[in-house]
Amino acid sequence: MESKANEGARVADAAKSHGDDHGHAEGGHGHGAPLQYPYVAHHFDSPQQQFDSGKLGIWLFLVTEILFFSGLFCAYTIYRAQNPEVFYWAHFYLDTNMGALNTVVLILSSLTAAWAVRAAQLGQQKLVKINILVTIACAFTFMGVKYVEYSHKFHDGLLPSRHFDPKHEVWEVEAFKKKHPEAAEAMTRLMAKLEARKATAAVDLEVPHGEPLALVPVVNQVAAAPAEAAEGSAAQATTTQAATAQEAVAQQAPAQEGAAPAPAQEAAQEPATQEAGTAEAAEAGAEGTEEAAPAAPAPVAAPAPAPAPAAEEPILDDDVFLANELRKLTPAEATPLLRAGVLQRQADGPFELVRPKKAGVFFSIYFFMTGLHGVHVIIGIGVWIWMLVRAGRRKFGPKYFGPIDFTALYWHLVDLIWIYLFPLLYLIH
Amino acid sequence: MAAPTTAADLVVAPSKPEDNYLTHDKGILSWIFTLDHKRIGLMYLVSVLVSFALGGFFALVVRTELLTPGKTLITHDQFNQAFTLHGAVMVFLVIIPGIPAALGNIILPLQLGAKDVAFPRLNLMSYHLWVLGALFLLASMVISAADTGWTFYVPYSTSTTTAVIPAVFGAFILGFSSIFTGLNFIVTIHKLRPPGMTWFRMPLFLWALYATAVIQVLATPVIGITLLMLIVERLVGLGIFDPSLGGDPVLFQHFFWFYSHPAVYIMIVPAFGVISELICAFSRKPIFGYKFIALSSLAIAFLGFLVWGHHMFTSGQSVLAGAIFSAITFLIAIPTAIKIFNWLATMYKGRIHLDTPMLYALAFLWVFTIGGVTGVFLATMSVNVHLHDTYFVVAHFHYVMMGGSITAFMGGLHYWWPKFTGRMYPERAGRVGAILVFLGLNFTFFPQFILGTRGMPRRYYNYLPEFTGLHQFSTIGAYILGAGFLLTAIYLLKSVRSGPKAPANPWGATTLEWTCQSPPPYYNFHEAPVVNRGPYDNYDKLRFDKKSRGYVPAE
Repeated sequence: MESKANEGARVADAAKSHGDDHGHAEGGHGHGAPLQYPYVAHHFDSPQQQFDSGKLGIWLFLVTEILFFSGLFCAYTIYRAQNPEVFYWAHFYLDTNMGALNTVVLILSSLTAAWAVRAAQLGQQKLVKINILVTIACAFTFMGVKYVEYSHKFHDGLLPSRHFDPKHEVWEVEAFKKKHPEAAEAMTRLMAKLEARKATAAVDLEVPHGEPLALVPVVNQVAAAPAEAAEGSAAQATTTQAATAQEAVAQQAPAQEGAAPAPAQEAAQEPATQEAGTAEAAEAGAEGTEEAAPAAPAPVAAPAPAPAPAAEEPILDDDVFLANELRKLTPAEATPLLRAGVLQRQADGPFELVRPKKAGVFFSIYFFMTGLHGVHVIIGIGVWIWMLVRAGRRKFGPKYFGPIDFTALYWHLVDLIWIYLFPLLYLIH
Repeated sequence: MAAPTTAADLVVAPSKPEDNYLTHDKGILSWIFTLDHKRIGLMYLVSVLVSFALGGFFALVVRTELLTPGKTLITHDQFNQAFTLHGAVMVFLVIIPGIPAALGNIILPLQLGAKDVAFPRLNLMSYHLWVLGALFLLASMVISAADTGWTFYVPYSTSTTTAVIPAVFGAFILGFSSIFTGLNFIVTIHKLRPPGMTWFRMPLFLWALYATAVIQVLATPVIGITLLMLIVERLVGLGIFDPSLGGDPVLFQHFFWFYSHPAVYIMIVPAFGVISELICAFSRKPIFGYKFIALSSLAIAFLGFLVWGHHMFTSGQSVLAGAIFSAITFLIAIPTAIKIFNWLATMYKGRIHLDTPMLYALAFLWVFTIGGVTGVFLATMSVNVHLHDTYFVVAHFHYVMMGGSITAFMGGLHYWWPKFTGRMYPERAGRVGAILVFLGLNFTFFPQFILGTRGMPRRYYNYLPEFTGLHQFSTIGAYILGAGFLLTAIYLLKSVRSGPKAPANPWGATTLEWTCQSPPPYYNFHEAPVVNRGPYDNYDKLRFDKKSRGYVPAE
């Protein structure tokens, strides 16, 4: 059975084994691993057994890491499934270029990590150190970019739920402007109109809290009571009398809708054919992106029933003015806004501008996931520095490269998690 | 399995008797920074027992308060804190590490025939993490003890003013300690088996530890991230769990039970392993249905991941989901019953020795079966709706956790005590202690089944006057239980100083740990033992040696 100790030693023995090693807590007890392998800890019989144990250990550890993140991915999945508009809305606030840069940086670092392992296996001491250094440099670059991104988010009030207070509306964000120029321009025009209205008719437009924009109270209201909002428009509908009238129409509507679903679709493609029905048409076209009561789009697909307050045009307050303006948006303008949940239909008919429900939750998940990933990167930096020190002592070679192999495996996992985070957070479509 | 057996491999390894792991190095630092699995295990054992005393103290406070309706001893807020601390200490500090980390750490390499666990440093780190986690729990206790119950349900845990964060952070750290122990054990069992130790020659305790380790590694990370989210939720308001910010509190329950149901198997599966060892050793008979017992541990580990929803029948889960969870929960009764019947079959026609560990094993069979069967009641959805959050649930999980895990832990502790310390405990006192614990257990918890079916809700400070009699019965049972443990603590401590020296094999058991001296030498085995037989063969090749008062190989 003594032979067993050597039999497992598939890694060839060579004269190149250096000095003392950490694995030997108790030196010179004449026990356990053969003395020609000073890097083998006392309780292992052979270098191969030690390496295999380490390999299995690190893989198990990676499994626990994946499960650790899985809680977050699970939360992400649930909130995205329940609130798709929030994720669509919020992804405009993330800087895709920075995210892409970080992806490239991390992939590069994974390459150099793998290269470091290879170099260690081949005994290319210098190359090991260079590759570890590049890996560390990439990790620092990643954290630097992350710092820039985080500070922008903090500055713009894009914080987890309790502190969530964005400084810009979605149509003011560059990414949105670039992707949906018409919608952004339309909203900018609309806001300018509201400003002008306020300037000319200041008395009429006096709104609670002295807020300049009519949409602000609405937004605040929604943001302040997400739980109520979560109940959905159906609950509100039962409370308002106007809505009961709407429901009456809605019950007749399925027949019409069933007979002529096509016009609504066509209307979505032909902008501004009807003065009154465009936004509604867009809403019908934006299939299922929002959870508005299904009854709502149907009655207005037929152009006739304008909201009752429209008759009071001369003395309308800004909510009504805004609702009318919003109805005039063309489908091209309205669709992105509908999809992002910014433009929503109230239970009793008119459109309103809101910030998506649970918008802050996206940033909670964003900060938690990327933050936890960042912590892993920082831990990785620490381990790589340790590996660099050990490589400096010429610890690694063809017979002993386990630690650097295991560190690289960990690093690949950290990289891989980012490869998932980047599209899930930044590239939502 | 029954390979040709020789008595040769049961010979006690020659070693200077004065040199063992307890005396190998001197000084407090040689303990705190030891890499020896036996010393780490012993430190775990001491820490777990101290925590057990603390948790037991809180239990007695809770029971004493319930002697009368209304105030007996403490205020209602203190009552909430007392039962939370009792639960958190007992679950996170005692039962989860009790058998795997304390007993398992010492026994696993010995039974396997290895010199140490695969990663001794990680092992030490997991103990240090345990201490750190325990300190955080204690900190919470000192600042203003959490009053959420050990389950930390939101939204109460995000809104109460007590020190939830230190308690949760403590549990978070303890989780990592548990993960690292599990990881270490899996790798050790995979990679450090000596020549001839095939999977099906491993003692059943190792199978149980392996199944436990798999659960620890796969379930604990999820509670880790959940508790971390809870902490951040409390700190900055994530809105993931907190309904006032748009979060979903039921999601927390899903995450929590995704870990915490498998965690009850982290608590009970190693207990099964201990019982398998005890039943064999004290019936002097090879185990009946070895492979069934071994694989049923893995089956329980696997099924344990699919049943978390049975904690949430009343949380607004769909009826279909409830029915599925209920059905899978019933399935777990199968591998569990396989074990029970195999143990009974092992005892059949065995030469049963009623030593203290065996008394605990018999108590386990009795008590755990009651706990298991009432678990099937609770898994039935229609019954559960009525019994949810009543004393019936309390009685059920105390029969399983206390009657199952702790009884097995006590059995294992007595069984391996001579190996750990090199001293024998007084047998008569041991038997009295075991009987007191058994009686106390049943007196304490059986009335709670009746209380539960009559509608006494759990965690209540006050109760209707008609429940007084049963509550008082239960409290007196708790005092008997306390007396049993106190007696045990006294004679065990005394035996360390003045007990007779233990022989290598005081019980006539056949697993490898009994082939090395008591206490074991620093390196366990001077040469990796060659195993050429099943773990429970060779009972007839041992004879009692009057001089050493232990079993030696028959010539």
